[in-house]
Amino acid sequence: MHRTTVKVADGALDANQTIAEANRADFDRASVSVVNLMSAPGAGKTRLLERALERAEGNRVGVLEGDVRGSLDADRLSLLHVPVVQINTDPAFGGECHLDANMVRSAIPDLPLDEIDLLVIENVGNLVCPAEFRVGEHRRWMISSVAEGEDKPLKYPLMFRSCELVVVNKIDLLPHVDFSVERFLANLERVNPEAETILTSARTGEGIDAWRERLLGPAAAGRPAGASA
Amino acid sequence: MAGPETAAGPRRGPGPDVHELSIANEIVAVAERTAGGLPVAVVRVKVGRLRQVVPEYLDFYFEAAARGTVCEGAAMEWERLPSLLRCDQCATEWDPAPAPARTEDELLVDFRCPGCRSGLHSVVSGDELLVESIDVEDPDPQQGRGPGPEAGRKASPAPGKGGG
Repeated sequence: MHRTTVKVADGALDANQTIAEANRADFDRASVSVVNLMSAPGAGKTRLLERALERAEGNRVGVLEGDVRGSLDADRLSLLHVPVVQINTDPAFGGECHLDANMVRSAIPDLPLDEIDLLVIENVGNLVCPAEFRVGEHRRWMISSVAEGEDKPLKYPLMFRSCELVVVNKIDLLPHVDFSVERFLANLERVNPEAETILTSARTGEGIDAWRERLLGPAAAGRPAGASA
Repeated sequence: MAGPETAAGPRRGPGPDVHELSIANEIVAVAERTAGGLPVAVVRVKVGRLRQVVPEYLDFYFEAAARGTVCEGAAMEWERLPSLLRCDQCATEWDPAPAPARTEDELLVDFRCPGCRSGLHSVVSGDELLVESIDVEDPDPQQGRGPGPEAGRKASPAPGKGGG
């Protein structure tokens, strides 16, 4: 038996990246702008999408819904008469805690790309894995709710660094939780000085107009995720 | 199922902060592509300090991910690479996350340039998540049944914030 060392020097996630680039090329060909929307579980991704899409007149939006199990979120969004495709990571992929490029690739044939201009990929709720796996998106956004605590940018720097927009949701809870918006923004500044922020309460509607405009308005057509601010 | 499946944790599955399992699966896949069907004895990995990967956990999950593949029983050797940024405006270089102290200090990072306070930077080092090399057990090196076509393929940088 002879032992040979073979040089590899490949990124562990290169295979995922290659598929992500193929997805992105498909989206570009169809002129569909893609947002990868990420957060911890329960931060309000679906609720904020509902609030934005309930007044989405004239906007052609589709949603790719990623969950470990079930279609609860997809069912909610379907009520708003937008095309929704559900990916469950449970049966086929062993319950992965994130979407990867291949899962999104497998859903592309089900997406009506000719009928939409914007695709929102609602990732599986998780602040860790989705930060690592690109799926072919143009923009990476995240939601952080005040109930999660002001230290989260410091604890999950990769996620907060990889997003150009951070929506701070559930601000209606500020009187009831130990969360200083100022300290949160200072922590965010430490890991991502260029991040844009919007403060929202999906419950009271505060900040929702700004969020909707960011998602659907002229600015939503913005620059691709790869470009520097 | 034979083997200490439960002791080693789930084969796959979500859990609090165990994304090292997802990463371990990807590392095994890279090694498999390279090994050309030969048994793998060692997998060497480089993990930059800006990656949200704990190499000790990676070790643990690598063993589980390798089961039933050519990497089964292989040793994983990892190397931690330091974090270093370069300011796009004034070219100052700095470490945004000085060595972990296992205390709150560990969280004290600063991605704004200490020289000119610009927020725009390039990552010099720290974003790496690389399979550097593998050792394969070759029963007869003269047969030319060497590592697969992926061997020696041009490396591309790991995805990361790097340029944007």
